[in-house]
Amino acid sequence: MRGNWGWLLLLSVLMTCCGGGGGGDSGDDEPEPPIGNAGYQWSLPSGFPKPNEAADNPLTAAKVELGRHLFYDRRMSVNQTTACATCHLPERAFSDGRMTAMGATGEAHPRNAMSLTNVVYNATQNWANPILTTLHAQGLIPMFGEFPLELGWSDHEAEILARFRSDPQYPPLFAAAYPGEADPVNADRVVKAIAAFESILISGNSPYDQATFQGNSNAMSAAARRGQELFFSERMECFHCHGGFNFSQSVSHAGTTITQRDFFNNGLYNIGGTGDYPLDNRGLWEFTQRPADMGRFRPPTLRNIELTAPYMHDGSIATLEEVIGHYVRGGRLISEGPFAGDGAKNPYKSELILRFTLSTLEKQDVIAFLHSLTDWTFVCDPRFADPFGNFPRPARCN
Amino acid sequence: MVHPRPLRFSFPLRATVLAGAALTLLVGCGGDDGPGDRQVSVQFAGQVNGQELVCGKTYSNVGLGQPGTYQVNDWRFYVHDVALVRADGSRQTVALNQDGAWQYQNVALLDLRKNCGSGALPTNAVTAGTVPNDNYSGICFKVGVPFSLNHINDATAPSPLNNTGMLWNWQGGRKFIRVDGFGNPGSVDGAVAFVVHLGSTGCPGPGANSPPTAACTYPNVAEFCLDNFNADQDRVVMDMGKALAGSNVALNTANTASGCMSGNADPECIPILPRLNLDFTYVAGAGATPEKYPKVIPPVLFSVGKP
Repeated sequence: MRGNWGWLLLLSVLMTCCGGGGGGDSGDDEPEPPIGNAGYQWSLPSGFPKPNEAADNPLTAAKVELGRHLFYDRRMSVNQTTACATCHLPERAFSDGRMTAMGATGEAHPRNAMSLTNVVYNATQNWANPILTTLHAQGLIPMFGEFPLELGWSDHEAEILARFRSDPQYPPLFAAAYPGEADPVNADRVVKAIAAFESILISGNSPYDQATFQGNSNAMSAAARRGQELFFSERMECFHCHGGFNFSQSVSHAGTTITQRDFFNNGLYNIGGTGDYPLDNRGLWEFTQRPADMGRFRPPTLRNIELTAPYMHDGSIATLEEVIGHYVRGGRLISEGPFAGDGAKNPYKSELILRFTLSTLEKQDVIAFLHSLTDWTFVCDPRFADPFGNFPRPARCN
Repeated sequence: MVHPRPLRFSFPLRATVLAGAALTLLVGCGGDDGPGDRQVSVQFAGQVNGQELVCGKTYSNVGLGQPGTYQVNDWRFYVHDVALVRADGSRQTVALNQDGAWQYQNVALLDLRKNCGSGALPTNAVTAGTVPNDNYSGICFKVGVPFSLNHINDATAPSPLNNTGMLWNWQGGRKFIRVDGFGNPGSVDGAVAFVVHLGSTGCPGPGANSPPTAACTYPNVAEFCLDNFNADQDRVVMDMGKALAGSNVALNTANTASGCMSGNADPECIPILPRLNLDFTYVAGAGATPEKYPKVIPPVLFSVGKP
């Protein structure tokens, strides 16, 4: 924060001027943690905005705690094999390491399981769903989806709920989360509790954050700093889609009043030169059938990206090195097979993805920067840990 | 962005800049209509060579190259210090309505996208505020965000300064103009991405994720004044065809930003920034002699659209 006194002074002038925003005290004091609609005390990293809270799902500590239990409970799936955490493992920043996800009965999902890092700040959820704006609406998809089957609640709702009713641990958790309700053990209450838990999965204490927001300039290596300048350069253009505090242009929080539901085609496919993507992964086009929406997906946050390989909506790129290679080329060339085509020439590709050159050393620097976005205090946060001990904490946390 | 030869100003100058900015902002904080005040809405419109802006529409004869076909898929820009001008030349700052979305202090975001992206995009084609009842015959405004607001943290900045699509980074601030598009749409050789992103360059500081330590070498904030403007019926027309009149929109120099992103080493900016009413300094590389390209006079980007 050295050298920023003028800014603080000016900000305080601004706040006085239009009576805007509370808590903007000048000086070194940390602002008061924001309080949610139902009194939840957010614990936010330095420099982070207050998250949105769904009007029909106000956050409480009791709801978060119920959600944490349900999230890690394998009884959430029809055959009791699969919890939410199975595809969203804490040690992988709540992703699963698989190319594409697998449902409880072994059915393959066409898309890569997304990291749950900072999902509360996503303008929309899932890879390319323009209308899915709340976490509890999203949660119904893995619960009830049949094609592919994920947790398998469809036609088995009563059976699954009965497991929680009969386990002595759960009724008190439900009662605390939904006080005054005669029968809170239902699908709506389950998904809202899980959404409440997911919404506190906030990561903002990486070496990058320590250097940027906490005044610890030594937290990032020299290589990571060089990589940062490359990341924000007009040569690489990374920041156009992955900009802002959450490294994603698709961001929503209490301070955003203009919605920003962005989706981009990054040149992964161009089947037969038509611009097409594989049938089961056409992105926003599946909702709109507008040609320009072919292959458009939401840019995910890059926070904890080191832990969430493989990459892209279909997990088709294994490593960060290859991801950077993809962007260096300005798109992927698939020379044979059913998906053959030059993604760099996809007519619907974002105009901000252009071929560029990058030396081997520069590539290493960019990767060092991406690694500086890894937040081990997030991965190891006991508030996010499995209460049953089924999903062990990474060795590094102990 | 390119940051040639950062300039470092001494503290007194910086203090002056800050104080001046604060004063400007205080002026911009009106709000309540006084007895002699009235609401004014300044309408903006986007055009390409005189044709209304619609995303996905192919415009022709854009720039110098052949065939000069061009499509747009994003069109947003910030303005500030909007003022109406009386016949005697005196200016009256419009006290912008503090709407919590498109306008903050003396800054407004215009988002002219039409049929761009999917679904109903939130768009905004007006700056609205109050002025004293009087006769006005002209308008002045600056394109961009004032330095004092341009480099604040996006995470905690008020709307519309937290609009992620308009961010560069903390050091560089916001994109003042964002018009994304491409030349040669639908051609067999493939369309050529050609975007115009205007913003400040040469902002000195330790890195991309901290605010500049002094004024930017090239703030790239231009003022536009239009005569014979009646806010009650006329529109302010921004014509990108005029900005691209000296460009080949189907050509981008390899290893430079797509189109022009204000970089001082990007040859595509040479014909563009002067048409945005800005002097442009081109520096090909280390040791190259800077070349000056003065702004085009009279300014061409904006004009008055009569009903």
